[in-house]
Amino acid sequence: MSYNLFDHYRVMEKQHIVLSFKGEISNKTLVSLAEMLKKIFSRADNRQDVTKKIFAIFVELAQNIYLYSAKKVTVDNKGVGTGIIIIERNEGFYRVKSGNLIMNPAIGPLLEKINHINQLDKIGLKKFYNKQLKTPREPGKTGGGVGLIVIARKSGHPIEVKVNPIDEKQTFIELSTKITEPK
Amino acid sequence: MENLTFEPTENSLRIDFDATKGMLEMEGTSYPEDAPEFFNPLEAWLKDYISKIGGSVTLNLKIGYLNSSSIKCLLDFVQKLEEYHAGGGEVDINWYYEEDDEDIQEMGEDLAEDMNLPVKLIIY
Repeated sequence: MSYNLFDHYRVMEKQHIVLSFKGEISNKTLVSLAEMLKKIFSRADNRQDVTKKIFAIFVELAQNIYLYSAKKVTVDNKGVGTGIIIIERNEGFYRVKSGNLIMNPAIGPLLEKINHINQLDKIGLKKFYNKQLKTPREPGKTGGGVGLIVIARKSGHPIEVKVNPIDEKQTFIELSTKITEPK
Repeated sequence: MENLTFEPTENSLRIDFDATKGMLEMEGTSYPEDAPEFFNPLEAWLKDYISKIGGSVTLNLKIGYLNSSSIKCLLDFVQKLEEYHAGGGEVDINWYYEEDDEDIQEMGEDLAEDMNLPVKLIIY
């Protein structure tokens, strides 16, 4: 199958992709992407509160890839996760999507956590957030275990999940959520 | 005892801990790849300060953005101050936030609510 850049361009145009990256999310890459995001959103007539929400959700999703992607490369002697992350603009809302490979046994617990988060209302989310913040970090774990709750709280919408099984070992998992632009 | 200073980067805080005055400042944006790695030396310094000097502590926080794992680390740090305060140490926290920055304001309010510590919320 030959890859047609024009097709890629047209899809991105059609979907109004404002930012897109595929590759390893190293520390430096994340900083560059975050700075780019700020620049893109400072150009247009954007509300600062919306930009802040998109920024926070983008950082959490990107760090999820960095920490939890099953496909890692070595950067500065560290294992860095690879994946894809995009922001698309729709009528009245933005959507941030991230995708990466995940080992099959990790899917169940992740889906369970997301389902739980999606069932909570605003107050429930805040309670769960406070509880998780006070739960001691598992030894050797960098993530705080609160990233997904932060995403749900900032977004105010459910976290959507799509799983694309690859083989008996791995699955491509896609997480996304939307950020409404107030009128 | 030495002071502790870190220059800020795009994704890590400016740190200025003054042992003589007991004045601890954290300012900026924090989403480092490894938040515990960044915060561990801060906790170690505080532990040292409490055991060696044992003076008053004023923590000034001017936060622009914290990712989830930095929030957790900051909370752990403040919990150490809470323990010090409970044991008789003099602790004050000033939480600065920009007007209209509801997220940072709410974070400060949560902190004030959750901690048995004097937390002052200040608009700048």
